[in-house]
Amino acid sequence: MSERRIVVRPEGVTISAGDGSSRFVPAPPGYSLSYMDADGRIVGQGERAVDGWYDWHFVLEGETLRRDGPAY
Amino acid sequence: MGLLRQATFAAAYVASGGALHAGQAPAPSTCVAAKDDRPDPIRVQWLAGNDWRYGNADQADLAYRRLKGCESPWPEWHQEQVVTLPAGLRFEMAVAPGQPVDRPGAFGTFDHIPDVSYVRRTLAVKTKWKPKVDRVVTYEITEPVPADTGVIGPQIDVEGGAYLPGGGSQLQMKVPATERMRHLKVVGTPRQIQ
Repeated sequence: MSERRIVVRPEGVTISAGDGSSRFVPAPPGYSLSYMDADGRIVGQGERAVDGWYDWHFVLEGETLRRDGPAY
Repeated sequence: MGLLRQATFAAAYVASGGALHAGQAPAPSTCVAAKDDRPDPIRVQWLAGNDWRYGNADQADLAYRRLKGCESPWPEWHQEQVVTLPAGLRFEMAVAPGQPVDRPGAFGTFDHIPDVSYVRRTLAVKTKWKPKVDRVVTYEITEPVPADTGVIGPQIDVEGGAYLPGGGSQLQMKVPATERMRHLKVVGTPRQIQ
């Protein structure tokens, strides 16, 4: 299996594969990405609170970042 | 709280059988954890400190499942009241490995954070909210910032297998995340904790 490298920037995530290819997954609308947590989820910081939380964990699923749960 | 909000809250309070939820209104029922009759040692610990708040066992069970599923960072009795924290005030924040200090979270504490155990137990930071913590950053408010403040509520840390009693002090900044650093500056060097 080729090694993956993930770089988190405020505007999105770049996933580079071992074969030299890469793809970019943009941050969800209204979110600025911050860092990757120890469990591999990505923290996005929002312009507005959702259910009382501004910061959320997102999980990379294909070409999208799925909201997973609150981030502290 | 406006009149409409008060009326909404009152209606929801009655509809929930008089069981208060954190914040200004009960959380939507969709986030309440499913009823589960299997042995749950964390539930036993939570009941030991909290069942007195409820009129009967069913209400206490509902409150437990609401906390487990809805994860409010505030105690059930907390009523949101946003205040303006003044310039010059300092607070601490536990941050994760790789988290830039100029990307703070929304929550801070006026407590001194001695170690990771304090972050979990007294600040009640669930494992899934922040899987690892390695540093403490001191921030100073440079421009007044609106924030909700109060006592930290208990949490059910399913992933960590623990009851987190909370009880520390907490502030939650009420500005868009990207604007937080307009109100803050970092004081000194982040402190490593274990």
